[in-house]
Amino acid sequence: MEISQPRPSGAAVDQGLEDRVAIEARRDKAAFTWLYEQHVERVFRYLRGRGANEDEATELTAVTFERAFRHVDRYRPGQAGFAPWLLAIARNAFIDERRRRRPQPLAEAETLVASGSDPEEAAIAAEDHRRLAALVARLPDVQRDALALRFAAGLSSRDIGAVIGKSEAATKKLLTRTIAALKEDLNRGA
Amino acid sequence: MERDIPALDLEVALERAFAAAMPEDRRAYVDRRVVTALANVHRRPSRRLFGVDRRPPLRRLLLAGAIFVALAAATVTAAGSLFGSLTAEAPLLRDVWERATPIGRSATDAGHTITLERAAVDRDRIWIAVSVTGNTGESAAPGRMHLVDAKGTTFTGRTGAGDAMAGTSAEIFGFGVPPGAEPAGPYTLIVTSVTPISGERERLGRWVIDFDVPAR
Repeated sequence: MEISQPRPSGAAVDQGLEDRVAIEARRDKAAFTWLYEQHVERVFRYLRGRGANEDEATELTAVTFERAFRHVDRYRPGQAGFAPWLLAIARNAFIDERRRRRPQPLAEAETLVASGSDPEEAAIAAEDHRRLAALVARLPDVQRDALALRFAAGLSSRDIGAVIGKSEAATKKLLTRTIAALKEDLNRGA
Repeated sequence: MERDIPALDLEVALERAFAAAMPEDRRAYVDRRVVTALANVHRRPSRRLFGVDRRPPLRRLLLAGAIFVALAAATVTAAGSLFGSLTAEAPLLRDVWERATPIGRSATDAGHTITLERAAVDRDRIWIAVSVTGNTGESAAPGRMHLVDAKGTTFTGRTGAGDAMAGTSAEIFGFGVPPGAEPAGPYTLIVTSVTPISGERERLGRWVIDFDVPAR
């Protein structure tokens, strides 16, 4: 099974432009603001996708951008790109936060938010959605992380690999296996 | 019951499942945190003007005179040149600055004059460019503030960027428009504090500026 490429969410920004703005952000706060506007929703979605509740995701989004601003001079243009660099910061902030707290089960339906606009369609899909959310919440951390980076943050397999420290091929395999397992569980009515 | 879910349908379902929208009040909170983080770093001007000076006395004297002349001129043009440098390399802010309507209205309180230089109203954001000039040379950025439109809608959540030198700061802010709301002029900008760049406690006051610009 091949998984499709992520669909662009929001305005597409080419990496060359982001690299130039990121270099400028080392001394120009306005440039950093531009990067913030481009990525703030994506970071929040990713953190919610990892299982953070709304309060945690809000706090960690703020922490992510505070750290990014402090260390923007460490960003290396021409490598993975600004979004993977930023999401790696968000990922580390999330992991740190979870380490500080006692282990707790990840939230299920309240974490994953349905967005069906048609009430009838939403009602029909509600049961499938609830089951899908429950299955995602039970996934091993590395699989849920990869799914959140793909479907919440909209990263490509190459960029996800840069965030989680795997090759592009290994990341593709991880995503393919995860989605296949979810499909099987849903088909079985798990 | 066993059924077969196409892989693409599952991916669409996953996209929907992970599509957590960021509520307006959460966005406003993060905006404030980031604006504060940005406001606490003013690297360029302060290093040049206030670094340790190891020049000979005569050169220091000449330099002091040059700086005095430069600061006197800067007081007149500081806001304009600060907005120029603020927007020069930031495409989003430059776009806002260039299409915003000049306003040029000021209010003075608590030793600071706030001037609404320009404003623009988009469907999802109301932009304002403001400068703050300390009457005693203190650089400060706008602190607590909000916008009210003709319908009485209050806009609080904002993001922005700015710079400061020689007792003047220049900031461009975008106030988020809540989903479903349609901003309608005239507008009132209400500022209730300014925050000194030095990190001292905020100065409380009340600066009220009315303005009107067409929505895009």
